Amino acid sequence: MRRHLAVTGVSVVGWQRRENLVALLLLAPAVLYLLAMAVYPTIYSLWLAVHNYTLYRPEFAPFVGFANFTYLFGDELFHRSLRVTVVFALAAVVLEFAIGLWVAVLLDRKMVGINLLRTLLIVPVLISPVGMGLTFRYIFAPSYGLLNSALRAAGLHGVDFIVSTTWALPAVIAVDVWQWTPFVTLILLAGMQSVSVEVIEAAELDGLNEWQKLWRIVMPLIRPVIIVILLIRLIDAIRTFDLVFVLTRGGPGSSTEVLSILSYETGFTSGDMGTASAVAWITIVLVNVLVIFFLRALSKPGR
Amino acid sequence: MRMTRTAPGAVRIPAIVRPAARHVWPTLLKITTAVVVLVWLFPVYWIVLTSLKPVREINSKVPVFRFSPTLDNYRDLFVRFGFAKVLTNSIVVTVVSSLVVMVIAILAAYALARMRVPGEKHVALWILSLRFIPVIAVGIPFYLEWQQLQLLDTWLGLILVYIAFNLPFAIWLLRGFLGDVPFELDEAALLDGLSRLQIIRKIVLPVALPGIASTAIFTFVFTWNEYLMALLLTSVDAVTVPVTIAKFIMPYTILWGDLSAAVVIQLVPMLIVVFLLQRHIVRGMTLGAVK
Repeated sequence: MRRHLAVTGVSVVGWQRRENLVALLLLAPAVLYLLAMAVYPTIYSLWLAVHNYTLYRPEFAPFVGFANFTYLFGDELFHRSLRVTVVFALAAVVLEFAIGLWVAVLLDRKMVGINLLRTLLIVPVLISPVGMGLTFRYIFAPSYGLLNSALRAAGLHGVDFIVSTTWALPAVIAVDVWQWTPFVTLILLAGMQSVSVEVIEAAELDGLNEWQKLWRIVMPLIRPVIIVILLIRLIDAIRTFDLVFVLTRGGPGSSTEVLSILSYETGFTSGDMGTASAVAWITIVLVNVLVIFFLRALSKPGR
Repeated sequence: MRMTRTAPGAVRIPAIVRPAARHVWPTLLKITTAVVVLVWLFPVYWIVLTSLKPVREINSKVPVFRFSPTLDNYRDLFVRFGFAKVLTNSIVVTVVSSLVVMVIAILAAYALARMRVPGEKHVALWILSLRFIPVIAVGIPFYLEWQQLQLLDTWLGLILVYIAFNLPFAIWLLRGFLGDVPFELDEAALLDGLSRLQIIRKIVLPVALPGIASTAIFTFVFTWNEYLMALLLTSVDAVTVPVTIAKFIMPYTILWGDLSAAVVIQLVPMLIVVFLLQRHIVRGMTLGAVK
């Protein structure tokens, strides 16, 4: 808890008023900057979403109400994009969490070189999504790609992963999993290591095995960490752009066209900034629903 | 849960297992652990290897692991594609915007963490919520505004945007780090007649340096790797490294040699910075949920 001191010789009220002014001055640059450069663009985006604004005739942008939104709700391409985004986000985050937890349990032990292994695991997190996406594009390539060479060596047929409507989405999900699982692992690991040794020892004395210790003791104790990491990953997966864009650019057809790419293509390829902004705003609403849901879960006490 | 009193460091009572199994299992688990991590890093190893290969080996149908390494791809990148300019753009934009972010964020975080601000929690949550705005949602307005203000394809245009992108996260993290510094320090300094700005500079900054450093790294890595905004707001003069890397994918060919060299060059500075300061990274990644 924060404490405040009464300075002798100065009236407490006057001192407090001065303090408030100082606090306000310290906060002002950040708040004003964010209002101008984050809140204003978001509102501008909403303005665009209710106007028929095109790149080719920006001076003629009539107000159209919710027309852009109603158009989207009746549009097959949008429905598909929404579906792709949800499948992508759910599949990626579930896999990242499952594998991440498994690797975290593996790394949560004493052994020679364990610190080196943990440190190395941060490398995939540092590569830009562009770099990671393109690395895998090389690995997925049909003739000289590593994965197809391996498939052929195993006597199987090669697959051109990123131009196959069946394989493109799983391939994109796999790369996202590759990039972000270590991130999930490192955070779960940090959570696990914050659980006190005494608690673990007590559980061992009670005769709990490794599995029971994990699910009955450790997981409930690190519940806040789990919720935060799921929230961050889900939001970032819904907003995703870079990795998918460099891998498939939303294709083939629209089989990997997540909402951000749909918005980008609508705005910058078709020049329809109004509809593009409507797509972006639907993404904002989706993200906010998730945040509220997770913050509820976070504020509820554990079982 | 029943708490059993055990002195810290007490001998763990071994589970009852057959003697042979007791040795096999842990060893097997250790090997699995090492293998999993190494497999996970393999793509990175592969791209580094590719960047050192002559073009003939890069497009070979059978993957080549042994070859005489060459720096041709790196030379090509700088000589033929003017990568020095791109690198300069990325460095200037990243360094300048990170510095500005840190100054503004430290001031704000100090007020939020260590002074009485009405509705402090709401302000902090509002700031954090800005971190989750989809990039494309603000990307379109920025594109249109910058077009009007002639800031497209300039350093300033990118820097202004990246400051806004990184502020929310930096303030949120620093608020946690600065909150950890004992409050007695401020009180003593106030009694000594130091102003709040002096306290920040002389007392809080040195004590909270690890946290400040890791916040700076996050800002740095994010800006260095950012793609979508740079794609929208630059075209020729101010293009950054990620945008250039993606450009090696051409309609009929992909220049894997140059591409992989650029990916490696992009990764190296991040590796150096992070390995130097790895201990403090994890807390940042969880928005401070893990101490």
